[in-house]
Amino acid sequence: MSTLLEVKHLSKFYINKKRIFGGTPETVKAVNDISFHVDEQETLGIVGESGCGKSTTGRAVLRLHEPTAGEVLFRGTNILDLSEDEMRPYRQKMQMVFQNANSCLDPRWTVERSLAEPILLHNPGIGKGELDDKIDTIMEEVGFSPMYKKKYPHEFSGGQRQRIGIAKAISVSPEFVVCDEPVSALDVSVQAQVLNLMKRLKEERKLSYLFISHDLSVIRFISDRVGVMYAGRIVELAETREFFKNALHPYSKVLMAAVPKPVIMEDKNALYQGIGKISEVSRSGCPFATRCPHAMDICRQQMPEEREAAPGHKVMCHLY
Amino acid sequence: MEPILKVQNLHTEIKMDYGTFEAVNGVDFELQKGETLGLVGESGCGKSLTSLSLTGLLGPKVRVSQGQAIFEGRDILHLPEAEKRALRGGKISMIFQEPMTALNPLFTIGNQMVEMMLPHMKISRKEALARAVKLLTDMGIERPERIVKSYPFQLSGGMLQRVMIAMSLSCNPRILIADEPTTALDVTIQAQILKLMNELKEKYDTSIILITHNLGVVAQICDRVAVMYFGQIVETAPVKELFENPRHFYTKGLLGCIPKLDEDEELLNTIPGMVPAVTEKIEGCSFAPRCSKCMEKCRHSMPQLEPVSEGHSCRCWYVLEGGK
Repeated sequence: MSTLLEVKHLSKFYINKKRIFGGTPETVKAVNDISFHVDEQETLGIVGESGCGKSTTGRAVLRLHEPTAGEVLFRGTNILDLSEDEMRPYRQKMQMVFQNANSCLDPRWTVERSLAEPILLHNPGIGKGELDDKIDTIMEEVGFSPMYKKKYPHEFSGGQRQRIGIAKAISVSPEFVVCDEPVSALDVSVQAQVLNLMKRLKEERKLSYLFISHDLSVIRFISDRVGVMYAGRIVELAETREFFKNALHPYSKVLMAAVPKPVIMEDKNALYQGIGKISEVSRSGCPFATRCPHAMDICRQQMPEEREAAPGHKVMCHLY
Repeated sequence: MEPILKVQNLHTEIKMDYGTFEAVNGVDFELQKGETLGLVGESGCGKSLTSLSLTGLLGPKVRVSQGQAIFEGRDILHLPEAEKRALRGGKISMIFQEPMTALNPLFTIGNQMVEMMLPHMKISRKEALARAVKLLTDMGIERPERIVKSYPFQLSGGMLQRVMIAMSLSCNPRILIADEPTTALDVTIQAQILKLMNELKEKYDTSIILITHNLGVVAQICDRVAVMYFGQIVETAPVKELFENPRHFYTKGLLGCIPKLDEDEELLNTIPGMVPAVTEKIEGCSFAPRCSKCMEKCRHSMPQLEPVSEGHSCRCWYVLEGGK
């Protein structure tokens, strides 16, 4: 399968110049030199805890936040070199689904108007009849009767609004969709409905997803490959089945152990194994070194290189 | 054994412009000493409102319309406001989902902890501060002397939640009501807080009502579970029994739609339809419109919560009539 999106050495730094009480400006390395690719019709899941840089990655790839350094190649073109006008056709191909659907829906617009906006933007010449048909088809595709398009966002429940957010993203027939925590605000029964919908749409429309979530079980369900982020770096990247069978990075293991499973475990302590003390990210060497149960001297001094532990299974850790 | 809290037929209604709606519709449960009871359900099922009714923290348009909750021989739902206030934070205390919003940003942690203790305990300000430091140490917080002098914005979410737990335990409560205490936290921090709660339960012998939507959390720390749907408890059982032998079709549905960490799945199981709004009127069993085993009877009459085995009750006609 061919590569749709390739990200090379992407970084996004924020510089905090104005500190309340003076002092030196502080650089926050939200995303720090990461590389990955997404194939056609593939879902790459990115998992990590708050502040690890996963959302920034999603936004930097779409240039919603301008990256500090690196390349983002979409079918071989580095979109970071493009002007805003040149970028427009690519924006149609690369869409986003947000955590909170309210952030992409105007509360004073009907759903129909919200859905029409991106379609009109990318197909200025479209006729009224064709536009109506298109909106009706998309409403049906995400499981609504077309008559719902006359309603306003507040008339829908959280899960329904998220389906409309998805409808809006797919309305311009993208090839690549960044999904930033699309189900984390939803109840489990609604989450299951939305996840099934997203999986179905991926098959039917031959989409590729960059799927960002903090929930490993969601990632397992939706992804073909998984990347684990910690402190702005991708510390492990592998095929989903390989990852869940044979996670290598100590952080991945901690993350997996910490998920409370809905089964009764005889050993109540299994959940807390290896979590260790949660302290600040290490300043030098491996960012996980201060928390890592296997930390060695070298971990505190030197940032590990990315290594391929098995075919397609990359890990950034001195242990491997 | 005599339960520490006995809630009977609790009804709580919300007054809106276009009518009055029952958001809690006849909830009964008992809480034993030292027990952790999980109240589980999806948004809008009435689980938080149940706990707020018990502590009397209801807004102006919400009121308890019926029922009683017996704690130490008194019905705490119908106490004068002053007595309710004496109970809250004292013998019955709460932990909320968002520690940042529950703490005052303008006062130090120590100040707020002391302020909580003074009205409930006969101790001086100095003693209270020493107690605050000790409690924070119990929570596994390093350098508590420094933490009591910090302001909430200086601490992380996991740290603040520990402060909240310390605060809620400061007056030796008999009952601790924790409303989604780990929902806003990362999984590794969540695991630490759950560990802490498990340890504290044994150390302080406090009874806990844990309100959550996360069945994983329930499996890890609860002794007994009550599943709520549309303002009612639809199933209650000891935790092992509920996870291994769920009977109500809503419980089965909920357990089925969680993506599994150790299995490949093509599609997730779903519960058809959606959670009804509090303003809806449903005749018969409230789950009937979404239930795969719905019978004629279910559409007309509401089943009662009745025992199906030792300690396990279920509100379902199909199950009560012997169906599997």
